[in-house]
Amino acid sequence: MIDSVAPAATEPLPADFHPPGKRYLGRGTRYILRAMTDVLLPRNEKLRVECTDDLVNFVDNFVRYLPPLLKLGFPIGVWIFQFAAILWSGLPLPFTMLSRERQERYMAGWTESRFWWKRDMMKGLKGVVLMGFYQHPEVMRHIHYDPVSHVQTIQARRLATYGDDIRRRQSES
Amino acid sequence: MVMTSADVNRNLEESVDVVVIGSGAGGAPFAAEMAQAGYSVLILEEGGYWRTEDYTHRTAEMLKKLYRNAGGTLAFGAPSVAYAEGRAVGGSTVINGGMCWRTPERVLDKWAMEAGMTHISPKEMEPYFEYVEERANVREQDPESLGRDNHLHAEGARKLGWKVTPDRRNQLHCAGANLCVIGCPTGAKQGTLFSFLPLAWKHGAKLIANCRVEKILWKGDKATGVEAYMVDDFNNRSHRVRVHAKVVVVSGGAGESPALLLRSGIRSRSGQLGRNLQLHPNAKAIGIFDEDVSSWKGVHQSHQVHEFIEEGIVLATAGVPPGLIALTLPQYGRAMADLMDQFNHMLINGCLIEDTSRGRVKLGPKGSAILQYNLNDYDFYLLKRGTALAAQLNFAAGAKRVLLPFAHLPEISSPDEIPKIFDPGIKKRDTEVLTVHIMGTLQMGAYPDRSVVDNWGRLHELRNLYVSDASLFPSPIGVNPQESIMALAVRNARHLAGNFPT
Repeated sequence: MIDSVAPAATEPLPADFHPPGKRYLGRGTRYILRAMTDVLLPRNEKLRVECTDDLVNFVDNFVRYLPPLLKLGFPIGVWIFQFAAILWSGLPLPFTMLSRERQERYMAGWTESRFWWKRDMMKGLKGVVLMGFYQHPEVMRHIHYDPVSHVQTIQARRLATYGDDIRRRQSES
Repeated sequence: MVMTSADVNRNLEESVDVVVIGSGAGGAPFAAEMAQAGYSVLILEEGGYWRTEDYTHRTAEMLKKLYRNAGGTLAFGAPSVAYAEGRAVGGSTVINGGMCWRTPERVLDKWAMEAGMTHISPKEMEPYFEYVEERANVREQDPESLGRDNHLHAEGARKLGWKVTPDRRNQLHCAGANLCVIGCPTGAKQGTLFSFLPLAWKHGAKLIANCRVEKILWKGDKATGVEAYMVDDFNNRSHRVRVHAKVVVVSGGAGESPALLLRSGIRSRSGQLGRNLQLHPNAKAIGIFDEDVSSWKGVHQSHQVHEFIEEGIVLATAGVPPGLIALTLPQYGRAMADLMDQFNHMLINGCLIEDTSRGRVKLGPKGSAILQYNLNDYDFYLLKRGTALAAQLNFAAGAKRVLLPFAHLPEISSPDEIPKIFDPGIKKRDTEVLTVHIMGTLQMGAYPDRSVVDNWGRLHELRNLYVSDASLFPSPIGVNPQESIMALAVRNARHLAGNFPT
């Protein structure tokens, strides 16, 4: 038990990004979600990890675990977002048919809305996408987040410094 | 000793002295006490059985394995509050920060005075706290495990002349992996998986994981057992597990425990079953510094600022992985990329408040727990004050800007802007609130007309049904609850062992 450390440092894309088995979200929902994810994806001059499809898979898999109301509500929210664009984007078109610039403006309208329900809905949709993004190994490397080697280092130090006491206490319990 | 869904390939029927539902801070110590007293004990745990070698840094994978609904649980209201609880062998002790505080004396005195509780004075509780602290290895951190985030936070508080109180945590030479909230990967955190469950197993207790109790079986004034099912991650049922027991102990947490009683048709004449939900609302204040903070290199939390505890405010750090931080920030696209490029310069901290608001637990689809909670005006003020104090601390520590939980005031860049937090234009619905402490939904008390369980955690209406989790608290306690839950579990179990129903 006391020898255990986190898995090896170099690892492939976690299984969350390409889960086996049947998809939860329908093809249409995934199509809209892909367009949304593309706008949400953090990018700047230093960071460009194109992983939209991986993230759609990630979200599809994660949503299955949410409580029943949120699990049902998630795809409904995606479709509301898609078709509310007809009313609120300035053009009578759904989200996926807008230009990129207009998509960005429309999404900002949701995240900065004075209506809490629009902000909350967007927060939920965007939160899952971004949680996935910042678990992507390339992104973790970019922000210099390396818990694997940190855990290996401190666990080795812990055992070297306190190994006897740890073993003694474990045997007592 | 431990069975999981892989070991159960037919319907089961068991007869035991005590069946304990849940294996967290309330269930495991209770089970260990009863097993040590010589009673046959069966623990039923809805979540899976995961050990140290199963814990990784991969946040989503761990959320799915260790949390109820992958952490996506909400108390609906104004504002809706995101709450998290464990769903694994070890319960929330697998995913908490490990902080251990004795129930404050003023709280115990209040419980005696207002709820009419006896044998609850600080002096009477002391042996239970001592026992729990010994068993769970509660102690201060080894100094080398502290990261820069905790040093900065303490420095900020000291510059302001505020009292810094070192945390005591259930840990065996915690080295500071700071992955506590997704399962300690070094085995240092001494949750019930390392403390009370091994003790229970040593004395013959059995545990079935992946086993969700659907209802408590009862007749007249007596519980007769439980009906449960083996379940998968999504609560899809397979084999039935029926347990006949002389005593039933409910330890599913303050959301699930009242829901279980309600869907079993159990009612309380007090009308309080499922009511009085309180949850220590938390709000964040993330300081961004020029210097490298790397909050993931060091213990989750080494101290708390108790300067304002009499007001009901506690300030503390709470380092979490970047995926969880990104989840809570309002930015996306380029703004998010720019902000998260500074992840290693973030001091992740905030406030916890001792709330006076009251919510409730109701039954939702398929008998699930639905939590409702509205923050009252006083608590909202307190939350703003806590956030303002946290922002002040960040600036005192050297932060260049502070990210706030308000939709229309997402950040401030100087202490002069702190008064903006109190702008009446900032509404409850504009505020992001979360918690990991839900409590109070099956309150203890001497009076059956206003409490659900008696002085020893026994339901007033059923003479052999006990509750052992944070649902019991007659009021919020203002500090992390795990040690209080454990101490009450030991106290109540010892009382039961000496007064076992015939």
